[in-house]
Amino acid sequence: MDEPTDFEDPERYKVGDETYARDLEALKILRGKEDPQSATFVIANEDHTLGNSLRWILNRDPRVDFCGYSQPHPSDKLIKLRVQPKPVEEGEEPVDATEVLRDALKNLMQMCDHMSETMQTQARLYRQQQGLSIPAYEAPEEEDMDEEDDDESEVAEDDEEEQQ
Amino acid sequence: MASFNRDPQVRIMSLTDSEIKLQLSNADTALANSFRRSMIAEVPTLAIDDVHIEINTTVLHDEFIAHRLGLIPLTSERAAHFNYMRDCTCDAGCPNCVVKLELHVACRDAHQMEVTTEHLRSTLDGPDTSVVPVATAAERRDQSIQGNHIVICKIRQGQELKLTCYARKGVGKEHAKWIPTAAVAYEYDPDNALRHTFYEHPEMWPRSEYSQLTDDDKHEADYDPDGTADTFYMTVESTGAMPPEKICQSALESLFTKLVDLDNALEVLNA
Ligand SMILES: [Zn+2]
Repeated sequence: MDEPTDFEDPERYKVGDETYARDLEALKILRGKEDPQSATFVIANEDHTLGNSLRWILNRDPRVDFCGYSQPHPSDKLIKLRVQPKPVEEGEEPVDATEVLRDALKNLMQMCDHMSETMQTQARLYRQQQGLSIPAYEAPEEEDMDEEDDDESEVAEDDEEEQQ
Repeated sequence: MASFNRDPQVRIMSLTDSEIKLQLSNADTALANSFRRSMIAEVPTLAIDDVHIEINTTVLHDEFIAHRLGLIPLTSERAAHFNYMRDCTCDAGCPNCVVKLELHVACRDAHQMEVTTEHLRSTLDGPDTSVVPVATAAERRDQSIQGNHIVICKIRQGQELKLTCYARKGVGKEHAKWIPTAAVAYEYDPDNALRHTFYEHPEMWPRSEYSQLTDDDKHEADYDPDGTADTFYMTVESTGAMPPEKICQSALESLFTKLVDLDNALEVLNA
């Protein structure tokens, strides 16, 4: 904008709104005394979009004894994710809920990445086959990428290099 | 790292400017649903968020017009390159977080006149980057598409509307005006082999477009007691704010970002 805009109160766009609870900690870990490897993760500003997928992938992990999540109240912008790893046998290293959750996150990231990649190649292929125009955003060189895009393209490039 | 993921496969069945149909296989309801929810609520787009009205002698009051303006879909392919205004370093709007649109229409003769999205003049309207109402973009893409402009209000002789709009980046969970999809749906098990639903008269149900039944007399697949829902047929319809496959991509990016953020938070707490 060339000239400054005369918003009455620009601050109202800076502070929290009804969508995000900005006063909450991004993540809290609650643990009980009886089985210290289990934990309840209180994740702020997330909902079923993340919760349901996390529960699913965690339940696929053979090390997990129980996993569930809930959004305690629709007005609370948080979910609670409970992860209880299987009790360990003697001599074994106890598995911690944090470790299990981080593995779950990595697995989901891989799946997201994989879907995103197949989607892109498929869409490009489909457009070529049907003789449709390639949208401008698909253009090979993009100069001013924002942080998010930069991170991901770097990750993708690294992967390719590793494979080679 | 323990790996127990699946490799979800995506196959595009059809793709147009406004709709994509895809098959997601080797997945799960949880994944398909997260994907769907993300497309609706987590994909950043641009929409008019602030309206400064200078002259309004129309029959509609200011708030009514401001609300209508907010709901107009704007081309948002490059929304990812914008900042959220609340996160931007500027004080009160800059080219990185705000797009200004202007409108000035007056009716001088004794006819009814329609004020439409055609009259909105965007300040960001270059050959590479433009944030304009979707009907304007569609017209430029294809000359044969005309007259799809959204009516903002109707005016008569002597009435005038002059205002400035500020479009900002946002997501659907904040306000519905930022939702890039008109409809997102998915179905699985088109022939009801899993019996997740009960058809009292299977012959009366219209057959799914994804049905694999070849026999005309058969209306339901045989019951498959060991089957699970792992193939999903998704239909994503865009408002025009973004090409449909871009919505899918952006939704997956948002999911990815959530996962990375949580992973980082875990790392910080564990360190
Ligand atoms: Zn700014």
